[in-house]
This record gives sequence, C-alpha cells and structure tokens, in this order.
Amino acid sequence: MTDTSRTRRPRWLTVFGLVTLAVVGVGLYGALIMSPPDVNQGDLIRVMYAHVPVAWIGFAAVAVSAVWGMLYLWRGRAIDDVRAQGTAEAALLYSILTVVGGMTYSKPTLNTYWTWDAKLTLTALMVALVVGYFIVRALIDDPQRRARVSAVIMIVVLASLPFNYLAAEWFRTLHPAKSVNLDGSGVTMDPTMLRVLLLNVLGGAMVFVYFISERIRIGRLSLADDKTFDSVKGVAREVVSVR
Amino acid sequence: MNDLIAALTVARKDFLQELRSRATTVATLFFSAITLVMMAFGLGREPELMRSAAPGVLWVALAFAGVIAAAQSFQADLEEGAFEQLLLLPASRAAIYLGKLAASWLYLFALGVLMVPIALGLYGATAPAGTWWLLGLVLLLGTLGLAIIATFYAGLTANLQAREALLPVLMFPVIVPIMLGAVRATEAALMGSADAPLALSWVQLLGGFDLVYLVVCASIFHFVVDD
Amino acid sequence: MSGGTDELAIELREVTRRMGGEYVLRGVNLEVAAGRLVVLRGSNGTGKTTLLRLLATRLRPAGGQAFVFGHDLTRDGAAARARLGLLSVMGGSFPLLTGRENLELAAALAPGPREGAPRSDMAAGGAGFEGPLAGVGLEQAADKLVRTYSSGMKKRLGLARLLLLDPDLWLLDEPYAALDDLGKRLMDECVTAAKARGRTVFMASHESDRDHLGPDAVIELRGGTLRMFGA
Repeated sequence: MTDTSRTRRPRWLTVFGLVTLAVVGVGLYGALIMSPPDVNQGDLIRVMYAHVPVAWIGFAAVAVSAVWGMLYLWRGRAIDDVRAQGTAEAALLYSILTVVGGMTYSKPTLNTYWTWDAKLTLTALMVALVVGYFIVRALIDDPQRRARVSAVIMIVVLASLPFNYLAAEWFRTLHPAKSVNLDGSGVTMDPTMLRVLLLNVLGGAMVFVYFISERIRIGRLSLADDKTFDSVKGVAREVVSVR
Repeated sequence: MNDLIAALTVARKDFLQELRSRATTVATLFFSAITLVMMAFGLGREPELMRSAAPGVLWVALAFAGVIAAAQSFQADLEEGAFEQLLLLPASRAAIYLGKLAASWLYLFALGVLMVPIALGLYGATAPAGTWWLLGLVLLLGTLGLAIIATFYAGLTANLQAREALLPVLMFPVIVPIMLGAVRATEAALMGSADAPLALSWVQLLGGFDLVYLVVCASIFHFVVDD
Repeated sequence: MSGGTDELAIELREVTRRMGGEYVLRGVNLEVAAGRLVVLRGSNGTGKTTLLRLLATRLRPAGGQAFVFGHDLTRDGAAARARLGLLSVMGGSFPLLTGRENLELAAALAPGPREGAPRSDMAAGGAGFEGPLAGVGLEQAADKLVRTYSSGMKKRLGLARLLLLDPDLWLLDEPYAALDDLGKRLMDECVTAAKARGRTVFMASHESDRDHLGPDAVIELRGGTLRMFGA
C-alpha cells in the first residue's frame, strides 16, 4: 500500500524552502554589501553573520532534540525518535561548523587556531557529546531501546551545557588569554549590523527548520518501510488458551 | 523508606563484591598509582612544573579509576544474569542506581584519600594543615560527581559492544566541570587558605553539578536498564 | 483469593518483539488461567527465552499488549513484578556473594513474607535461610561464593530464591538443564508443590520425559507464533 500523498513533498515545505532561499539571499546581500566593515576588524566581521547564527542554532538544536527525546520517553511514538535523531544530526553539523568557523576566525585575529575561548570550547565539547550520542545509536539494534537510550543521552547532554559553559568561562578567566567575543556582545553594534545579523539569524533558523523537516519526512518514510512484520498481520492467528 | 533500605542493600552488595574481587580492586589501585608515575615522566623533572601539575594529575588518575570501577561493578553483575534478577525484585530503579552509586562513591573516595599523599609526594607538593578540610570537601564532592556520571553511563553501556572505549568517550565531556572544579579547588587548598573564597566558588560548582545530575540520573535511570 | 478460575495469570495479545533488529515474536496470543502448569516447547533460537523475559518485564513488547494478573507489563511493570519470579538458565545469582547472601539480598528487597508461602515449614532453621537452602540441598555450600558453584548448584540456588519469594507466577527457563537426576526430581517436586499451592507455572523446556508432571497444556513456539503442541 504505497500512498503517494505520503511520499510526495508537501506543498508548504516547497514554498517554505523557496522563502528560506530568498531570506538567505537577502541576508547574504546584507552581510557582504550592506553592512559596513568593522572599525577594528574590517571585512573580517562579515564572517560573524554566518558564524553567530550557526552557533546559536547548534545549541537550539540540542535543546529541541532533547525535547523530542523526552516526548518519545513520554509517548513512545517512533516518529518522535526520528525527529530527535534528525535534530541531533543538525546539532552535530552546526556545532562542527561553529568550531571550524571559530577557528578560521581566530587565526587571522589572534594568530592561532585554538584559544580556549569559552564559547568555542563549549561547542567543541558539544561536538564530542553529540558524537557519543551517534556512536551509541549505531551500537543498538533494537529500535525502541535505541530510541529510549539515545533520548536519555540527549537529556544528559542538554543538562551538561550550562555546567560546561560555566566551566569553560571560568577556565578561560583563570588563563587570561586575549579573547574576542565572537557574537560582539559588550560592543555597541552599528544598527545596520545588528539588523543584518538578526536577518541572518532568521535565515539560518529557516534553513534549519527546512533541513529537519525534510529529514523528518524522509525518516518517516523509512519508518513505514521498517514495518515488515505487518505482512504477518491480517492473518488470523489462533489464541492459545489454557483455561 | 523501602527505597532507602533497597539502596543500602544494593550498596552493601556492591561493596562486598568490590572487596571480594581483590584482584580487580588492587589492579585499579595500582592503575591509579601508575598513572601518577607515568604522568610524572611525561611532564619532565622541573620541580615547579611538577608541583603545579599535581592537582590535575591526581584528578585525571581518579577519573580513569572511576571509569574502571563503574564498568567493573556492572560487569560483575551482568555475568550470570544476576542483575536481571535484581531488577525483577520490587525495588525501584532509582534505589538500585543510588545503591550502586553509593558503593562506587565510597570506593572512589577511599582511592582518592590514598592517592592524595602519593600525588603530593611524587610531585613535591605539600598540603598546609589549615586546608585539609577543603581538600576533604573537594575529594567528597569531586568523587561524588565522577561516581554519578560513571555509574549512570556504565549502566547505559553495560550490554553494548566496545563498552570499554565507549564509557570514557561518553563520560569525559560531561565531567569537564567536575575535573575543572576539583582541580582548581585542590590547587587552592594546596596553596594555603589565602584563596579560600575562590576555592569555595569552585566547590559550589561541584555541589551544583552533583545535585542536578543526582536528580536527573536517578530519575531517568529506569529508561536505561529496562530493555 | 489465590487462583480464582476466571483470573488470567498471563494474557498476551498480538505481542511482537525484536531481538537484534530481527522479529523473534511475530504476534503471540496466549491466555493462561491462574493456577495452571504450562510447558513451552520450541527448538533453539525460536524465542522461548525472549518470551519468558518479556513476561518477566525485562523486555518490553515492541507491539501488542501483555498482561500478568491484569497488570499491563509496559505501563505497570512494577505491579506485575511483585507477583512473578523468573528462574533463568544461569540461575541469576551474584557470583561474588555466597548462596546465603544471595538469598538475603532477595529477601531484603522483596515485600514481607507472603501469605500461604511455604515459609513456616521451610524456615524451620530460623532466619538464616536454612529452610530454602536445605530444601534444594545446598546447606553445605551456603557460605561458599556462588563463583565456586557448579552450574547445577547455581540452578538450585535460583530455585531456592524462587521458593523463598514464592511468587504467584513461576517463570522457569529450561529448569532441568544442568541438573542431575536428584536435582530434576527436586525441581519436579517444587513445581508440583507450587501448583498445589495455586501458583501458575510457565516453563520453557526441551525435556519430553517430564510429562509425569501432568501439565495442563504443552504449547509450542514456532515461526514467532504460538500453537498447541502437535497441532
């Protein structure tokens, strides 16, 4: 029973994807052309427009994945695990991009790739945590146990973020390395720059939503594939009754 | 009340097992000691460097020992399907977790008490008498944090392949705050009471970590052990 | 109270369960009234242990519904656990504890003495679990570590635990494996006595020479589903 209405991409998603593309395009224009160069860092500041949204979304993705994991633990629906997994994949991708972005940004400004910047350290730890999540996923065959255990791991990962942030922050302050706040906090920002940044955050968030919607849609299809034993269903099986 | 009895019963059982598997217990002890020695070789012989590295090395050794001890405790349980029988008895999973955690904490704390003088001796550091209370407090809270995470993840990985490698991979990124807090507070204790306020803020981090994770891990442990 | 004829000790509805990704149970339907003795047959690897562990709440069903004495195993596992006991193939005792300590552990975690339990006559030796230990012929080895036991002795210790807790539903996984002739007779006696006390016994066994137990039914697990044996 293949239901084409289930396999086709829903219209709203296509429309949403096109709107996302437009927002990202405008954001790119804002970042590369509209935004003035930074007083201190010149054109390098344009990296921020990509880096900051990616970093924020990475953290949000961990939280969203953990929430979906909790929903799975509560309701036990396979689709919630697909959602949690899809979001975790995004979390991994975005946090790796954040680390790479932070390192490339750090090289020209501080002349070193790694500075133990608190936020970057935190993100690197998050990469390690989410990699652990996927290693465990790969090791468990039973889908239900896999879903339960990985939901639990993501909850622990989420709980670790504030502590790791504190630790990373305090670690740095005791080794007072020269550090630049990549999100520009503490610096009064040019209003144009702030607007462009927020536009890019919006674009990035829309890309994220589009990405996981597609991922969840594909996951839902493979979930339907998995129900091979359903073929056994419908065959009348006797109830063995010992009364 | 029933849960308390159950937790104490499980803790007693784990501790008995730990005592009776003398070979593994002694091996873990020597593992920690040899880690201290190996790290000393790795660091070279500059006295100042050695002295300042002592707290860090001590806690790295304890973290490794924590991994081994927790994995070992579940290994002994799983061997003959005994853990399964334990889970069939009407004790709550949180109580079982807390019991195993208590045994593992006691063991790690005792190990820490043994390792402190060895680390201090090997690395030429000294603990001023006035800060022993701080050192004791840090050991208590730090080993508790290690035991909380190690016991939880050891239960989670107990029936997975490659668990020996997997356990530290999962555990270490989570215990970063514990490592950092314990090392810094130990440092402060070794430098004398001058830095007590600073040390106490690290101790607060340890306490907060322990409290949050104790609640989180105890309340979701049943998802981990119920197959 | 014990074993009203209408009460179902076991009720399974279209139960499925995977082990390692493959479906082992593919829609199991079973009703066992309280107080019955049922023998489960099936070749190696057909999922007998899976079914027993599922009944013992150790494995959750992937699909379908499972009840033990009316308690949903997925939602109300603790209530079901309070009324069942499992004798696993390995015996399920902690190797680094003595036989007596293993029983102490079970007694400490179990709810108080059960009504109608054979404890009064078994615990003649006092609180030291001499009764159950002597009942399975382990009084000599009571204070030795289980690690030093033979597999038959481990099985006997598992039986002693079951006698001590005396649950309403006895789940036995290959109870005769590794037992000597005396042990097999002992197992027979315990099973018969349990049934006489109104307990429900559900055992997986290859042994065809145990028919003198007079099971109420012999059922077979084949292809992931159940049927009456021989049908």
